[in-house]
Amino acid sequence: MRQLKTSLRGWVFAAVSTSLPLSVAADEMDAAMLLSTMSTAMQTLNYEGTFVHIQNGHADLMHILHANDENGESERMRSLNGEAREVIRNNSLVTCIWPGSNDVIVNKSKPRTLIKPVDSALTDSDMYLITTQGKDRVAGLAANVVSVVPKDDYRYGYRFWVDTDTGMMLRSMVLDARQNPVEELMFTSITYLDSVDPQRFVIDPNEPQAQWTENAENEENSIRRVVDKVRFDALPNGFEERSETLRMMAVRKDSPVSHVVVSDGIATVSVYVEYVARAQHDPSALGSTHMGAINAYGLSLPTALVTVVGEAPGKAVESIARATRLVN
Amino acid sequence: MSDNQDDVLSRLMDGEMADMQPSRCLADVCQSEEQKQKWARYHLARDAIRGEAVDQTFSIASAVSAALEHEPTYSNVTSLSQHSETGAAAADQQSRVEQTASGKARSRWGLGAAGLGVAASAALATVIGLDYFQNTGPTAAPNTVVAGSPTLTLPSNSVVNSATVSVPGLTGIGTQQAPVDLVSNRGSYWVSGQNGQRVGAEMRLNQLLGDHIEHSPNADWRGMLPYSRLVGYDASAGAEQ
Repeated sequence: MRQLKTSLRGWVFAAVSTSLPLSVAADEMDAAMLLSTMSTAMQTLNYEGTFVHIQNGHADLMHILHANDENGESERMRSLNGEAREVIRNNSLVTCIWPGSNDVIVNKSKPRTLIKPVDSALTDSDMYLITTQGKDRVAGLAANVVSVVPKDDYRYGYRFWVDTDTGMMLRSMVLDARQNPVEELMFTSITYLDSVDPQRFVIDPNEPQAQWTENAENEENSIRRVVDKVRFDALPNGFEERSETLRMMAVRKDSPVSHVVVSDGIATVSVYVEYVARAQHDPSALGSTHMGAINAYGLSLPTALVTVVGEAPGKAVESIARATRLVN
Repeated sequence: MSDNQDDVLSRLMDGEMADMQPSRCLADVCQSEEQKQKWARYHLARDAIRGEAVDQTFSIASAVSAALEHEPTYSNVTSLSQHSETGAAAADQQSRVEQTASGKARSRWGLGAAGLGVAASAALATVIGLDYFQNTGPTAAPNTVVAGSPTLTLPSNSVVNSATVSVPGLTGIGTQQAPVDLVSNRGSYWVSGQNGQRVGAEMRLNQLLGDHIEHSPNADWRGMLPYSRLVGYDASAGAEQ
């Protein structure tokens, strides 16, 4: 463990010392470096802990187990309150299980990448002010606090508490334009492990087998490809289209769905376009909905149903939905 | 501290008072320094978790103890001075001594009852206030808990059965127990932006959210933690509401 921590810090400091633009303000640089360290720690460390997750005024207690070995990342998160809802993720699949309703959703997992030691999206952003906010203590561990403050109300603000020793994120808050918390997550205990038994990530054979919903494409049915079928009239300031793919999804089994990722470097929303005539649109899928910091907006176009989902204020999500145009 | 005492504190925090005498439990809490400190820690932890301003110097238990100590003497029996003014002057010294002793005993009882009444009101206000916090969104102002001034009547079998205390904002507490807010019924769910009501087609939104989380660059920052939104989702949550 000591070796792992040392190597992590060494990686960050070495990378930072060779790539820093001189124009970057010292505090922004420190804050960006802390976020980079956090990203690295969360992907590379083996850890197990309990944390509180608060959204919609409701607090939930959850357990997380994370391992990183020669096979890649393996993760398991389970609710400790009420029914044992859980998500299990490895380098090929993400499986979400709700035992109470016998629902299981399977998605293909996407390889993660480490963010740059000093990401220009953070330090040169016109959309956010990123600063350090001193030191604190979470779950018995010393932490540095990083604040990400938006410069308009089309995006959320964030605060991160980063373990001074390992770089692990110990607490995070999502804040609205008035700096009120809309979502919070805080570890109450965490243990850094040397290794984790792979059997701890195996799905219980007694888990419900009914109502499996697979978003993951199988080989013969995979038509995922990069396309240009969706454009935007005017996105909120700072948001840009990052990628667009066309693929089969469980929400629309009879035809492929366009998926466009729109981001300002920190806030990210997904635009899903299902190509079905307006007469077939489910009215309950239209309009705005939210769960904690996640907002969604459904918009009916004559030949398509547009659904925008993401960790951004409802105002931004609706604007992006209304800016969506289809290319014939 | 015994498991039972821990359980009492925990239930006071959660507002689960169906088979409890909150005033008596509160008095017990005030008599034990260990319990007072533990209760204060519970409140401190909850305030911190909710991101509210935390006053580490404030102790609920101490405040209630102080209320007990400083509550003015209260008795629902006629005072000695009234006795003398209304013709009790003929009573002999021994009788006065007996009446004085009796009066003091009643006054002490009255003091205790009233004090416990205040303590109970503080406890109930605290417990119900916490319940209010649990049932409201993060943007609600905590100090809006007290509004209006209906009367609170404690249960007839309570220690303070002769007292009626006012707790603003509450009606019928004690005569009608609120249903216990089970943890199992309190998961998160999708809410309409138009009317605040739970929406249909939640599993469809969950499918899209799961796909979005996996493809979001945010996952590179925060690993699996954004999935806590899906783990927090409960199909049965809100069914009682």
